[in-house]
Amino acid sequence: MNTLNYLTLLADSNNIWAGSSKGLTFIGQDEKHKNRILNFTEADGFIKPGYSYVQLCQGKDGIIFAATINGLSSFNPHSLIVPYRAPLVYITDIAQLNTNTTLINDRSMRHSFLYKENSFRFGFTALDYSDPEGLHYYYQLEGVDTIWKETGKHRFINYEYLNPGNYVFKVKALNSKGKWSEQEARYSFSISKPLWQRWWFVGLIFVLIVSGIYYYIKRREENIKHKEQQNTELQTVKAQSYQYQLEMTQIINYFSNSIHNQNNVDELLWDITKNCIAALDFEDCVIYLKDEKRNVLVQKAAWGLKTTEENKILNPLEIKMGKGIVGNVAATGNAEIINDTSNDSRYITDDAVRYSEITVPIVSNGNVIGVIDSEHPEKNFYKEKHFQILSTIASLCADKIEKIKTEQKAKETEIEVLQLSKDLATSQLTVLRAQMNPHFIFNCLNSIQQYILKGNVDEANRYLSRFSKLQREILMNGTQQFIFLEKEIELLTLYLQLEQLRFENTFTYTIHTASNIDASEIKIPTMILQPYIENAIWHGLIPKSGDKNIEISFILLGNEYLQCRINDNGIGRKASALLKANSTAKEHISLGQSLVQDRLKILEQQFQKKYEVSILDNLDDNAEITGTLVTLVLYIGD
Amino acid sequence: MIKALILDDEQSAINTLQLMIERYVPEITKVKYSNEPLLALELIKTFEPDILFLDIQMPKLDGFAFLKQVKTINFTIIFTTAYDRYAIQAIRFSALDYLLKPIDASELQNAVKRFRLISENENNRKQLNANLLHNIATPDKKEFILAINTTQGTYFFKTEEIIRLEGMSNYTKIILINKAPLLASKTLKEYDEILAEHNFVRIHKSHLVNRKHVSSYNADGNLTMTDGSKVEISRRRQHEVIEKLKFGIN
Repeated sequence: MNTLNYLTLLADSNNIWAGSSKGLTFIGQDEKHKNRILNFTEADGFIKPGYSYVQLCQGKDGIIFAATINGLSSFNPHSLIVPYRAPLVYITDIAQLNTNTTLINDRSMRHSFLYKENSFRFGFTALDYSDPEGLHYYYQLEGVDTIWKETGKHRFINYEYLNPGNYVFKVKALNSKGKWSEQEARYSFSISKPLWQRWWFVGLIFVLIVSGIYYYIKRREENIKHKEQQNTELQTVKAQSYQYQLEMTQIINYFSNSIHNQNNVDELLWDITKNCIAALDFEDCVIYLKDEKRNVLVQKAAWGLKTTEENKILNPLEIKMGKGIVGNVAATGNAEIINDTSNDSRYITDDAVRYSEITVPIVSNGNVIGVIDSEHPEKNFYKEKHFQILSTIASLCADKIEKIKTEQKAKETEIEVLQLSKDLATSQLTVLRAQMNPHFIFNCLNSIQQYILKGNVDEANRYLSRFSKLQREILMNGTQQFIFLEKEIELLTLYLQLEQLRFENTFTYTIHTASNIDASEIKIPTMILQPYIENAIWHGLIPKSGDKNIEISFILLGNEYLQCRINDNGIGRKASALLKANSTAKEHISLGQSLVQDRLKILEQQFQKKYEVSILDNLDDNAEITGTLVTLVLYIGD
Repeated sequence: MIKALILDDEQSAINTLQLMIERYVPEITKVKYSNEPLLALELIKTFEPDILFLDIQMPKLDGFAFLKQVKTINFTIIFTTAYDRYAIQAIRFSALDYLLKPIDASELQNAVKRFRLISENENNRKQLNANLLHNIATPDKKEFILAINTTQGTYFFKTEEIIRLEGMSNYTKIILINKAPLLASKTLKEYDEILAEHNFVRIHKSHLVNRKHVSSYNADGNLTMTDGSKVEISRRRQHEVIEKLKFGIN
């Protein structure tokens, strides 16, 4: 406002117009121009200032007249006040104070800043050619300022240490005519939060912290759990150890019992291999025994997938001492568990590769006598448990083998003695038979001589060929200790026929075999009956006159014994003995029978079975002797 | 009219047989004899006997060796021997006749009866003789060929072709590999005696089996043969049979 005195004042519809040496001043009063003060100078087409006096007056049409010393001016106040242009406002430059850079307000302008870039100076200007001096600037930084602020005529403003966030800097201008910029200039920008303030960072930190806590808790829990588990495990181990001991004891007892019942090495070994499969879940088990003479291990028992139902190994596997795992263990005497045979160069593939193997030596009196071996297709199958059990079994086995061997030796000695006596018996029997034959031969030859002397050619011929036939049969069968009953009857028939011929059919004979006897199946000692028949004929029948008969019969006594009866109706033993007393041929009578009796004794001894002979008198109702009954009971096997 | 030639190194044996023939076989009308094999060879040509009584054991040339010298055998041979198991086996194996000394009258008569039957078939006789020579010549028992007389004729088989024999009263049924069985006119007992040394085992009074054709021994006391047939072992022979099957006889 001019310092000059307003000389004139004119109210124009409530507005005040004042004149001064400088020009004209409008002071708005009505609603439309309230608080508006406008100055009009020479530039507005007024008369030059410099006058000291102005007189204002208003005409009826509203035109105001101003009278100065230099002249009279008139103007229409309405046209003077309005219209006028709004100032165009621009943001000219932005200085980033932290980095000391100036940003040009164009399209490539940065709009985002780091948290460190937080101080700015905004430069701006407005265009108003009518009165640039009269421009006033107003600004607002959205995000900081809640109201518009005025800079006056200053065309920049500083903001320092702005917080991270989104901002809009706005500026507008007011010109001296009271006109606002129609459009404010804006510049929006953002200051990013520092790392520690960004959500993802915070999130990350949060997650880290949370997971850290979680981990810690978890760890703690696990620690507790682990301790508890260790406790439980300890308990379990204690329990298992007890269970294990119990199981071991049971298994070993099982084996021990089974082993105890064996009394044959082969059966013992088969039993062990079988039980190894049954009780220890092995897939196979093989036992080798050492052949001391040949220094090899011989497979004695093998149970497993390969085993057939028969307990027989047709071609026993042989392993040289020191060869393969088995041979090695036998050589060193140290048991081994091979967890992976493919890593063991000693392993010998049998029918298929099995990956684990356990081999335990059988040691007796400090010497390896054999090996127990088992293989399994899985690696690491054999455990400490198996090792302990097999070792125990091996020692049980060794003891038992030793025991059996001792027993066998004793038995063998016994058998040897028996065999010796048997051989002796057989040789004695051969001698006895050889003794019997000449006795009979000469009797026959004697008979033939009789025919020849009598001149009976046909009879002599018949006798001779029968005799030779009998003799041939005796030669063929005589070396045999036993003869089929069928054959024996054939021989007896030949003999009886010879005797009949000799005694001119003065006696008859019958041979009867019980219907349940199959004479082609039963064997009896060769020519055991002949001496008794001979005796019956010569000493029972021949001295007798009248009906002379000899009955020979065979019946079974149970399954094992054959009873042979030689029944004659001769004069009997007493009468015969009387005759004999007067006879010179004493020796002849008893020889055959005593030889048979000796044979029977030897047979009894040899077979430990009954071979008996008994001689009885046949008595009639008056207790008179009517003949002799010889009964032989012979063992014929079952 | 039957002509007979006797070859024996012992004059007393010739005399005995001659007397026996005169006494018991009047059908033989002409008898010539020799104790000298070479002379006998001549006599065969000149005399042309129907029957040759041939002694096996002769010091210079035994009966079998003598036969090999005979070019054409168109007579029936009846061997005579005192005691020679091996020779007798060979003769029986070849289904030929033999007489044991001292000669039994009835056996002599029977032998001549059989001659009359066999001589009807010239071809058959030749085969039997040839087979005997084969059996004598071969050192290997396996090569022995068994002559089997049946009512249909004579058949020849190696023992290995025979699976088993089954006794049927006076006949024997012979079961062969891939052939119809034969009914032989000999008892099983006779075959048992002939074949015992050829790996045959008498397992039952009615059964004789070839050990080579036993495929298995069954727990129920039977044998299964290679042709699948089952043969019963008699109860009392079980032990003996099993021992024989195990260890063999030869």
